[in-house]
Amino acid sequence: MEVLVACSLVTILAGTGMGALWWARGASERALSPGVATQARARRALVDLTLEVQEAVEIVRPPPGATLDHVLFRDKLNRLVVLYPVREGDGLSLRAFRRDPLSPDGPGEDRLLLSAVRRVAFTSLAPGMLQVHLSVQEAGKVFPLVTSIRCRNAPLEGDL
Amino acid sequence: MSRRGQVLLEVLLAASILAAILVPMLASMNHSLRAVSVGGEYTDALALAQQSAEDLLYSSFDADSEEALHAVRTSGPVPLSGVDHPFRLVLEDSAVPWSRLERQVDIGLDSRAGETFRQYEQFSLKIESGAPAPDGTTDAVATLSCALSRGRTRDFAFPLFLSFSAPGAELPGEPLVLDALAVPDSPVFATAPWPGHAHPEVLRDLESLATTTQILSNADDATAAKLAAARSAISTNVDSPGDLAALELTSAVELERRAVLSRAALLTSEAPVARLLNTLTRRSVEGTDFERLAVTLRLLTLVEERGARFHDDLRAALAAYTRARRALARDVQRQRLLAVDRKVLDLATLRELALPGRDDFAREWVEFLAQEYAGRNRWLESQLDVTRQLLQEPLRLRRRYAGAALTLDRISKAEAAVRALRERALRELS
Repeated sequence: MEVLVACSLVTILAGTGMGALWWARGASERALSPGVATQARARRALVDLTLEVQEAVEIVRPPPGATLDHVLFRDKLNRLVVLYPVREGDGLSLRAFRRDPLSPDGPGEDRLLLSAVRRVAFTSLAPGMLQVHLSVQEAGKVFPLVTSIRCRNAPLEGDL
Repeated sequence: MSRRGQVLLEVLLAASILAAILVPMLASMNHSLRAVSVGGEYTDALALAQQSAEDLLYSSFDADSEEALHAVRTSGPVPLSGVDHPFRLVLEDSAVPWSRLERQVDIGLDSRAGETFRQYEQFSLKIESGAPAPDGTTDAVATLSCALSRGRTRDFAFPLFLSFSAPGAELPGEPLVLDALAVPDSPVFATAPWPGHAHPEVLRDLESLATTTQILSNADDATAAKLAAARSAISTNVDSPGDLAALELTSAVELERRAVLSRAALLTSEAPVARLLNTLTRRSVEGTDFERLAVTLRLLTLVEERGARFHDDLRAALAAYTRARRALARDVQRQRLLAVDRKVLDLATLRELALPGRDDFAREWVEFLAQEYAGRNRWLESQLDVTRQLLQEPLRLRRRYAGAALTLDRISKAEAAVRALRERALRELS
């Protein structure tokens, strides 16, 4: 009788412990995939942003030294491009609006760059240089990234 | 042995058996839990390292990236959260005075940056080695490594190889002989090679480019309408009044100021043309009036000079950049050479618009760049494809450079008017 009780108690304790560990491992594994996906999305979004902003000839907003949640610039084909956040549920989505003065097709092109954004900030560190601070979130996992983008078509101080 | 002793022995035996089974299982579970945790940290570190690698590659096109690369390479692992980090200066304008970044006042990569700081403070980065590329060029190949510390330090080394132009790298091969590609009837391209680093000379030439740019922007008389349309289109995509107000503020404060300035410049520069056209209309039905004819001729001469200046500016800018190209090919960095090559490409395309079919300079330049950058710059190759198509389709070229095309049309119109009016004036005066 005592043996049975002792075994039962040990089994219950061990089972509870194992269950807790099992749950913790499952939770970590479940969090891993969204985390990797969030990182991939954040990096891809930054690459998209970099490719967009690099074509700028002139960053209109934010002015040098200022931080805003949107950026407005003119690219080398004289197109006006605005990257701006729009509220989407609890977070934000980042959209790009491109106005091509030469296109006869309506006012311009507006497309979604990235959804599930937690925070975005554009800082103009200098004329022709933009810092992007972007945090994306997914399933409770937040992944922030910061990068600085130099506009390849903007004149550099001391260039040539 | 008593009955009690037997029971105790049995319990101990059972506990030992259970422990022998459960302890390895618990240890295994704990190990796998830790492995998952380390895996998460590894992916974080890998993502940060890859992002840093891309930043380095992108910044290798910057004028100041060489110093940053040098500093990172020589100083070992450097925490990215440092405000004075040479590679990653992070500041956000968050306090008065606005539009002025001040360390210790505005948000840097410190605790006020919240999650971002917590992520980057655990991450340090260094470039392990910089070595000449195996193909004998002076490009450097670097290995990036990083460390991510959470609780206790774990170092993750990543085989991320970066190939970038080292400071002072020279373009392999012989410098480009521009005379072979030069416009046959343009003496500018036959000038002596640029002597050393004659920056003032180039800067003087580049002032002409600024004038050209001003002419082109003046021709864009739809600036205000474009901005209004853009603002209207944007406002339809904004969800909340707050967002709309922010965007409206952007347009109202900065864009409209620019639009007004642009319009004022347009009116100033186009006034002679408007007066000329009015005068021409009147003169065509009225009799001879030598005084008014003299005024008209002066106005027409102004327009004609402006047209000539456009072509001169374009030619001077092309000459300046091609001379700069020749010097850069000898002793400056490759990324600047690429920037100059792209400027020449733009200007050559514009020249093809201004003087269509006069020569094959633009086409030859496209093919030269295609050969020069073959397999080295996919972005430029795609741009060259677009330019090839533009050069084959004059209408598409005009649409792409609509502002310039408008200016050129006005110049042609004015030149024709000058010729006609001169002939008429000569007839009347004789």
